[in-house]
Amino acid sequence: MMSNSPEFENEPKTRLALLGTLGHLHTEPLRYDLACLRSLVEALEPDLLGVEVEPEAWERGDLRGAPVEVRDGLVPAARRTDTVIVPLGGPSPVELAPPERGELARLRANLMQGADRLLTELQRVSEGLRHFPANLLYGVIATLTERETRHTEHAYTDHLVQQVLEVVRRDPGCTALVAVNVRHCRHIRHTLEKYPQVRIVRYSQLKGKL
Amino acid sequence: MPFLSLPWTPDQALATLQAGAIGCLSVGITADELAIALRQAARGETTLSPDLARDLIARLAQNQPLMSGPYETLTPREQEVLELVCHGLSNKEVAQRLFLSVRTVENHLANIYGKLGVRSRTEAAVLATQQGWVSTT
Repeated sequence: MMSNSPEFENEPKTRLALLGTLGHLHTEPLRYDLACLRSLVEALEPDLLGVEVEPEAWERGDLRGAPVEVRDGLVPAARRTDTVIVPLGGPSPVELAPPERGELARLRANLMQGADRLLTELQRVSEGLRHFPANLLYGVIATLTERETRHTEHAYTDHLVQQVLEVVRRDPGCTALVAVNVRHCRHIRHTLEKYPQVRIVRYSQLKGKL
Repeated sequence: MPFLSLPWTPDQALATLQAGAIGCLSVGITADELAIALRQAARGETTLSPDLARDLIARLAQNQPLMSGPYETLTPREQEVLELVCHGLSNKEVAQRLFLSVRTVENHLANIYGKLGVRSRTEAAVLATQQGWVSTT
């Protein structure tokens, strides 16, 4: 487990950006589609690209269970560059669970779809501004989520964070783009900001100098 | 004459003995131990500090070479990289296998070349295979 103690401040920082992905929406004719994802990875050229794929599945070369944006967008783009794919685990067990029933579940699902579409519409808005309404919406959705589901999601995002920190420990000072479902970004960003080994940047700043 | 110094590594002690020293003593020895060592040296006997003798005997017991070769100077990560290079993987493939950046793999290779005294991955692979450091089967 990585520490956030001062001794690690002498190590080179890993410049890390989070890229929120939108699952099946990337396959629709929207601005933030698979081609957009591929262009982003090729333009940013991160040293490492963390994706939501189980390590065991990655070892087997089996991406059938991976999110479509990973299988058909991010991985093909990384293979055309020097970017190394790092499987972080996933997808989330909540994503894989059967759809919930009930009014609250329907409201949550509708809000989720609305939030996702809002993000695609805000693609032309600057990165920082877009995150604010997204974080607000996903925060509202989180309060409507059943406690057990919230715990499952938090356990999953905590696992992703530990995997990201393992990446940072293994190769300090590189540039890393972590592509996860946009719903996880808020919690992951908030947790990673506590670690001095990691410098969270906007993805547009990933190629800049520290 | 025996040498007194900072704590010896087994490699340093062996190199010193090979250069003609009659013994190697660690700086933490007692005055009595020093006196004994000096009398032994005067009789032409080789003298080693107990900690050095213990380390060298441990190497022998584990069937390790007494003196480290260039391969043993590689870090565990560098040894991993060398093995994958010997299996014909490109830098990107090595990086992907180890989940390291390509840049880090290139840095490791540069260190490997320096430690092995070679100039290319081909030379490194040939040397490693010839010396039996890496099995390519």
